Order: sequence, then C-alpha cells, then structure tokens
Amino acid sequence: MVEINAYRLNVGSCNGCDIEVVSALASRYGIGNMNVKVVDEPEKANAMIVVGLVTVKMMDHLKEVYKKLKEPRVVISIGACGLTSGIFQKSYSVMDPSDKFVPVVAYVPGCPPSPQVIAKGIAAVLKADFKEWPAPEGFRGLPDLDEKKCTGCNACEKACPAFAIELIDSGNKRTVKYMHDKCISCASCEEVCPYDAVHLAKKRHPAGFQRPAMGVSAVEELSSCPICGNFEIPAKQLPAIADRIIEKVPEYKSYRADIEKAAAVCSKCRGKIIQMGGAKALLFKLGQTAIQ
Amino acid sequence: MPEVLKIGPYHPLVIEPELYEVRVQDGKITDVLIEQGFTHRGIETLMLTKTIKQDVFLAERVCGLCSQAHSTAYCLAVENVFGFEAPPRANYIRTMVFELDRLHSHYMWFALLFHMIHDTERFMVALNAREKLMDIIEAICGNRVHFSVNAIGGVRRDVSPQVMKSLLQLLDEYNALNDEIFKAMEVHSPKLSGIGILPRDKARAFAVVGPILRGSGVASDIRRDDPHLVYDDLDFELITEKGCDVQARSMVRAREIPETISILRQIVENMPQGEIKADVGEPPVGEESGRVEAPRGELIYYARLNGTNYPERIKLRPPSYVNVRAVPEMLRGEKVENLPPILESLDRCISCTNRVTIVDEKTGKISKVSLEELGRKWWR
Repeated sequence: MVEINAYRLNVGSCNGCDIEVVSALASRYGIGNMNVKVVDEPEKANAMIVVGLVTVKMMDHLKEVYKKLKEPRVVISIGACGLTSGIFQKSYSVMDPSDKFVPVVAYVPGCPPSPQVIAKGIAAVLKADFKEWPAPEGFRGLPDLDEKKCTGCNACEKACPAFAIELIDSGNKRTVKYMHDKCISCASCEEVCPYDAVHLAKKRHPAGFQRPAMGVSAVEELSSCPICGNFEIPAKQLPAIADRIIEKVPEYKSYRADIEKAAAVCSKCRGKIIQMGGAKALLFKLGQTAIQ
Repeated sequence: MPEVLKIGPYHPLVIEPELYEVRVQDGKITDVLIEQGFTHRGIETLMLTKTIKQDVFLAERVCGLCSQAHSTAYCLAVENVFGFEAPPRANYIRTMVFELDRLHSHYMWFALLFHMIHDTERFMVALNAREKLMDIIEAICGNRVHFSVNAIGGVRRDVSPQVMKSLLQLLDEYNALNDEIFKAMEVHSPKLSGIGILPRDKARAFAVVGPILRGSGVASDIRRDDPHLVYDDLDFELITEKGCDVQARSMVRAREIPETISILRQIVENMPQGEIKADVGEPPVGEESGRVEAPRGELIYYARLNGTNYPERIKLRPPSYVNVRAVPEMLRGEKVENLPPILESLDRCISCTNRVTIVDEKTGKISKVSLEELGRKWWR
C-alpha cells in the first residue's frame, strides 16, 4: 500500500491500546513521515485500526463500519484483546476475536503494544522501514522458556490469568506451549516458576501479517504411574520433588527412592494407594518421624 | 427546527463508549439521552472465576489510563479483609507509581483537549513531552500502560536509585512544559469560560467526583478526606476552582500537575528502605472496601472473600460512571458547537473519530457530521 487513511475503532478495549495508538503519533515514532493520516469518517478511510475485544453490543457496529470503508479495506488488529480477547476470554459478554468478523490483514500483539510495535505493524502494511530501538532494562516483554530447566510442572499454566500457557499431553510426552498472541506480559509465570525456567525477555512483540500463534514450547517426558501405568507426572519433576522434600526435612534422605516412586503415582491412583505396600510403609514411617 | 444529534456509540478514550442522543432546537441543546454499556466486558463476573492474585491483573485492565488506581483500590480492599497492611516501602512505591499514572493521564488529557479545540501545535508539544515520562514509567514498571506493580501483600518490583535519580531530573524539565500549559489555558480561556456550567449545589446533588467536583468549588479529595497509602505523610495542596465551567475543570487539572510533581519529589526523598512484599497468610472470610482518588475521581472497590482463593463478590464503582449523570445538566441550554469541549472536560473524550448523526425531526432526514467538523465551525 502507498497510503493509509486510518479510521480507529474501539470495539471494547480498556483504552490502554487507544492511548498507545495516540502516543504513536508522537514525532519520535516517525508515523508522520510514513504517509499515514488519521481520518474521522469510515467513508474517507481505506484502513481501519480495530482496538480491543469485540463485545456483544459492538459486534454489529464493527461489521457496519467495515462495509463503509474504501478499497482495499485493510484492517489492523491491535492488542492481545484484539487478537484473542486476552484476559477477558470466557466472559459472557465477549464475542470471538475481531478476525472472526472482519478479514484482518496485520496483527499487532501486546498488552498494550508499545507505540513502536504499532509503528512496526503500520510500516509492514506500507512496506516502509521502521528502525526500532532496544527496550530498557527490566522491560516485561515476551516470555522466554528454558527447555533444559522446565520440568512441565504446570505451575505457570495455573497462574496465567490470560490462558496463554497450554499443556498438551499425548502418550508419554507433554508439550508446554507459550502462546505469544495471548500473552499480556504480566510476569505471573516468571514469579511462580519453581525451577527458574521462564523469564520475560527484553524484546518487544513482533508485528506483521502473521498472527504470532505460538511462541516458545518445551517437550517433557512423562513417567508412568507405578500402579496403573498412566502417564501423568513429568519424569524431570520427580527428583525435584524429592529434593524439595529432603531440603525441608533432612531426616527423609534415606527414603529418596521411595519418595520418587510415591510422587509418580497418578492422581486417579492416589485414592487407592493402599495397594502399594512400599508406599504405605513409607508413609507410616514418615508419619512416625513427624510425630517424634 | 428541532433536531436530534446522535453521538456514538463509540468514543475511544473512556471506559465505556456511549451513545449521546442530543435534542437540539434553534442551535441550542434541549435534552440529552445517554446509552451506556457498549464495552461491557463482564469484569465483575469474570473476577469470580480467577484467583485473588490473578484479579490484580484483571482490575488494572478495567481502564488503561487509571491502571494503577484500579489495582491499588482492589489490593487495598482485599488486604483490608486480610487485616494486613503493606510494608512502608511497598506503600511508597505504590504511591509513586500512582502519581506517575496521574501525571501521564493529565498530560494525555491536555493533549486531547488541545486536539479537540484544534490547537495541533500544542497537541504535539504535550504528546512529545509525555514520551519522556513514559520512558521513565517503562523503566520503573516494565510496561508503559499496565504497570503490574501491585500484588496482594505489597509490590512486585523494587525501584533502583538510578531510576529515581533520572526521575528527579525529568521532573525539573517539566516546569517548562507546565508554563506552556498555563499559557495555553490563558489563550483559550475566553472560549472555554462560561460553558458547560455545573453549579456547586448541582455538583453536590449529582454526586460528581474528582476534578469536576473540585472545579465546582467543592474541596473534596480522597487523598485528604480518607488518607490511604502514604498520603498522610505528604504535603500537598487541595486544588479547587470556583468557575464551575470547562475552564475551571481544566485549571484544576493544570494546577494539579505541579502538585503531583511536588508529591513525587517528596516520595523520592522520603523513600524508606526495607522489604517490598510480605506474606498475607491464608484467605479469611469477610468483606471490606478500599477507595482511592484516581485521576478522574473517587474509585471504590468492594471485596467479599469466603476463605478460598476465589473471591465471592467484587464490586467496583469507577469515577467516570458517576460523572456521566451530570452531562445533561451541563449541556442543557448550551450551543451545539460547545458540545466537544464540554464532553472533553469530563475526561471521557469523544475523539475526532466519532461521528454525530443529525436527525431532522420534521422530515426524518439524517445527515452526518463528524464531531471534529462540528467543532471546527466554532474553534477555527
């Protein structure tokens, strides 16, 4: 495209993305030199910047405005909410993301995307150059996963408020997926990770024609349950569990193998742990030690 | 000729886009109907499905401009149920980010006011000057808009002495910008004075909050009336204006900026050492509330916990929602050209991207004007 006449439409955002779109007009981002104009009528626009998640009440308005745009009707979707509904997923008044209603050309992820990322997305549409500068120290960017340290314990999945982390079990393999389009960079995963495997990197989100569907992932092996043979507990986690127990109660050091064996029991079989003589004896012994 | 103006439903810088249906007779506004709920996201219900810790991130995503106010009010409400008070350094950091939030919100508001009254030059000045502040916020919090500094029990990030030093340097630079804003308000004063009047007794009756209440001559500020965080230890002036009009509300915000800068200086000077987060213990059963003075006025959170990790009820009352009830009072009898600055003075801007539909009641003819064009007739 040679020229963008953009009409901005808020379909239900928190205004965080809106003020960043306004901030992107500041001279340091150079949008002014990029042949971009902000217009106040959809009839005058050939591009639309859709901000935020689509609420029930704004759904029809979005479709209506899209029809009024001039060709080629470029839609740029902004923010984690625009791409995936972000932290508001599963709310009763939130519809699907905006690309289910109108064809989206460029995606700008982030919660909210910094004006640099917005400028990057607009530059991609215009095929213009945009030179970004590095983020400051302590910037909360995209999560980076250290595959060697990750055990697949699912602490981060439970802590993530935006459903951006998924654990997929198939056979004896568990895949830990960090989805960068859903990530709101809150650093909850970094905070809860007991193995120091996740860090929010100092890099900004990518922006462009592709939805950044998946970010980083790790594949972990699952150990089989000693009772039923089900695969549930990650193999790497067993020595870590034993380590943490022994660290707290050094007297249990001699029961290390038993602790690991007991930890591998899957959630279904924990109810019938009576079948496992060794574990029962171990638990009895542990109870005795604790009483003493 | 009676006309109906329809503004909305979308305007980009408020919590909820609204539809204003303005009835006009002979160029004067006779009545206003307001429809809300266009960005209803079901936050209060959504909060019950997330844990107490996760709700901090949801609370700050209620509004992008009052991010810190929402998460602080939520944390105070929940911590009150726990019967817990955050460590002193945590409270100082919370207050520091809170005032930075107020500062960038007020600069943004002035940028948008200048945009609304077609003062493009000063719009760019305010916008460019604000970027330096945003850089400091990014260095302190790791993000420009959603700070994610608060947590139940304290704050999640410490502030390094170098960053505080560069913040002090930046605050010195801002004196020049403040002079520019005061000068601009003087220039625009003839046009902004006397429009959108909300008298003192009416302001009380409609229970408006924040700069709108203070612009009508009522000295009310939660920072002074119900001191939270560390506002008890800080020395600041409560700003009121007697004009009751758009100019008065603008001047309240303009004069609040130097106060905020002085508060930030005091915080950096008196910042105590110590831990930034403490353990709150097991969730109790009980109900409490927390209130703060957000950049737009009083913000209240109510929390009821039932001893589990998930709250039983969270209720929030944002300031803009209260202020909108006074809009018909402000607009009645006004010229239709004055509509944009009056709505802007509420700090719930209908930006230039919004459209006005004029419905001629007699012929049913519908004509569309953008709010920007509507303003252009008068302001340039």
